[in-house]
Amino acid sequence: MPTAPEPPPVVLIEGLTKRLRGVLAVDGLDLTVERGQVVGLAGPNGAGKSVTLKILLGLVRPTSGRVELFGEPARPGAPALARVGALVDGPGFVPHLSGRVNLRLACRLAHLGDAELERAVANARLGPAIDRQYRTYSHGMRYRLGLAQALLGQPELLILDEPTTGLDPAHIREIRHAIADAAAAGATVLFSSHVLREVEQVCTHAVVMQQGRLVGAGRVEDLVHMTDTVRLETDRPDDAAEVLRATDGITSVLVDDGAVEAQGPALRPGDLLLKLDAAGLAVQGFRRGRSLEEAYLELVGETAAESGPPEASPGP
Amino acid sequence: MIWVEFKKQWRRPRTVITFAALAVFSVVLTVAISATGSGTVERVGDVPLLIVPGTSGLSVPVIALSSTMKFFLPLAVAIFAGESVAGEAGWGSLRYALARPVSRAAYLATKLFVALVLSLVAIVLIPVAAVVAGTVAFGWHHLVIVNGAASTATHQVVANFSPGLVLGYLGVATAYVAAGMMSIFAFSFLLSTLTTRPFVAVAGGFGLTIVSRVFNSDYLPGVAVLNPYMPNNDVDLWQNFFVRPAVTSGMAHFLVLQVVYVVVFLGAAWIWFVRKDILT
Amino acid sequence: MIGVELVKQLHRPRGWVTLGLVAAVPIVLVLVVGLSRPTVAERLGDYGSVVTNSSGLTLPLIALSAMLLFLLPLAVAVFAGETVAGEASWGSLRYLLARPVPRSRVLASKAVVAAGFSVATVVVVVVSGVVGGVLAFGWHPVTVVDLQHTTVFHVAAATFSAPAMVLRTLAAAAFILATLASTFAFAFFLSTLTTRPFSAVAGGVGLSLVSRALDNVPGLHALSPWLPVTDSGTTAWTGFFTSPPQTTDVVHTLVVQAVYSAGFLIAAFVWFTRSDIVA
Repeated sequence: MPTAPEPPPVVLIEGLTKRLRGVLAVDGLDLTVERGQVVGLAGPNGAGKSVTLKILLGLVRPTSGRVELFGEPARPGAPALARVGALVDGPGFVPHLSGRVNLRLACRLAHLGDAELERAVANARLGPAIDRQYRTYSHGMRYRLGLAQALLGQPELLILDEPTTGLDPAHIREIRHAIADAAAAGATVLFSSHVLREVEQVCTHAVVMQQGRLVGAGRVEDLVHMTDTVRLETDRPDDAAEVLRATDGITSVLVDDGAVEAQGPALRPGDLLLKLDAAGLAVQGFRRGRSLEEAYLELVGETAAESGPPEASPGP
Repeated sequence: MIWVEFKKQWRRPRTVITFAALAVFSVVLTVAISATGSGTVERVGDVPLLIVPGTSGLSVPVIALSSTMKFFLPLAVAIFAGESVAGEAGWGSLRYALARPVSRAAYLATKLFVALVLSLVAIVLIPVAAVVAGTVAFGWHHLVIVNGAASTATHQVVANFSPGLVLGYLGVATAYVAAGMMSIFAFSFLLSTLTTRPFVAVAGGFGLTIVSRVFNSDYLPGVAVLNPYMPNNDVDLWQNFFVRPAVTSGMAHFLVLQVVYVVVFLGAAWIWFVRKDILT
Repeated sequence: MIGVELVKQLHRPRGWVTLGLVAAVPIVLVLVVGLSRPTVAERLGDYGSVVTNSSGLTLPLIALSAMLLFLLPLAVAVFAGETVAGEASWGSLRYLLARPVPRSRVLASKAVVAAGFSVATVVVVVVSGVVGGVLAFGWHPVTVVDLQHTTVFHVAAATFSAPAMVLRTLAAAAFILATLASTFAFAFFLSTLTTRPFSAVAGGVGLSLVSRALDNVPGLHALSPWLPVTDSGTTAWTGFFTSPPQTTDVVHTLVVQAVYSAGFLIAAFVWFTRSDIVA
């Protein structure tokens, strides 16, 4: 029985290079995003994240490489852009028009009806301010409106570039909820951030970039070694380390900053705690996996020693 | 401090390009005149002065000064004055320049002095380059000028000037034109202390010369009453040196007008700058 | 798309202020002329002159004459220069472009709306001039003295009936619009290059001014036929008001404008469709 062909990945990037003002902003990037993933594009400022996202939106032309959006080449005015919602480099609206009128214009351009407009207005949660001129809005209000516009028409792909810059924690949480809601509704989300903690909390997959290159990619779980690393804080880390080294199934033990990090396939943390307790060592703190930050630093350290960019793509 | 300021402004592409453009203008003018017929009579200015360029290289500075004084020179002056303080604000370095044990008045005076020197150099560059280029092209001869207003088809009013005399008149004329640019300079400088965008200060200064010319009775009926008070209209009066008998009325009035404008604009700039909060 | 663009621009105070000012100028002139110099003849360019209080229908021409040196190029440059650069400065240009619409269409809609406003400017001047003038001085035939053919012995003049005058005035207004085309196109092109609308507007006005300045330099006569904005080019419409009409300059000017406008507009489209939008 013939099976339906597999739908193309939402985003496919192969060997992408972009030279911007003499500098290689993106250098041989490979990246695939499948439907339903929430991918965090992480890396320090200047890593090339923004440029990559802009290339996907057809705003910037790649120097070389292959970039596809829903199976079609990404270029200015690509039809696939109708299925994309974006918030890039901050919100941008017409200052002398109200928030509502701005959204209405966006609806008109996207051929969406009044129902969608009302939904967006509700989404923005600006109350009566929706009818005030955009130029009177505070930073947080502008971002809300920008997010509402990105969510217009319930796009299949949501592209967010540093969506939480300069926002207070309450707003940051809103953004996170919005991303989670969109993902729950079946959308694919690609968002970039230089705050790795955020990526760790929200995303299913992460792609780490540095200086235009990919330095690591995969499921967040895998990147932080969730299942095979454990970090224990104790008063006598060296003694604890000795005990752990002698345990079966532990492949490496590190003492770092007054804590012990133990690694091994199929760790059973409960057993380790019992062992340490039996040795008279009290455990004050405990955490599974590393932070993405630590993982990132390790990745970056590795890459500095290598000669070329590793190829990888987050699997399903 | 003045030395530091000079070094900052001298090497700027803006400065170099402006000077280069002004110097080249005279050369290009000479080339154009030779190419298209230096034997034809040129009408210069409002008088008008009728000059045949090919007869003397000293015709070129007269033509050059006449053609740049209403547009290119005000622009150059507006650029130097407008860039002075606003440029520093735009770079973000103004606050560091001022957070030092130096009075604001001293800082402002330094900026003013350097911008002024650059402007004067720019203004002088035109006639100097023109004299050189003109003499090379057409020779160092007596300058013969026909008075276009007083002459008729049958009787021409001609004046003959020795080269040395022409140079002398040109010197005074250049000084007069330079003085005439001072109102524009001062206004641009004032704008420079008010804005962080040099472009605005330059455009505003140049705008003043436009406004001044638009309020000239030739273009708009009925505004003749304002004409004597406009900052940049009578800058062409030096051309009357080359008329016999020489007419110098109106020049003194114009110079006094410049002084008034300069005092008002620079005064405002000083008062404002010394007191204001530097937020950028 | 054009509808969306219209909404954006119609709500701007800038547009209405410009049109308002432009409408006010002829009214001011009516007052000035009426009060101060009712019997003095006004010059129109190189070709002719008229006597103002003989008929209100002279007002549109006088207003256009006075404004085409600076105010009209400024208004046109404002409309053209604000289009793309304004969006870029608001940060909304990237969202306008990250859509399944070719960039050329986006740019075309902006050009059309800006051009519409520019046309409206000239129309407003003419209408305001006619209304104000007719109210003050009446609806009479106009006599235009042809200065080029007048000698001490014979005054060459042409008289136009009121309807004929209106027709020729409209033709003159259309021609003046055409002479503004190069300024419009240049400001529009600059608008695609910069994120600061002020620069685009200033550049547009600058083109007009530099072109005129070069036109007026004695010795650079050879250059004049090729310049986009010249004294003779912008006043060639006065040739419509002689009998027979003089149209040599008119044709030449139209060709020059067409070439420059096409050049700048093409440059704008090429640049806009190919450039990276990083703002």
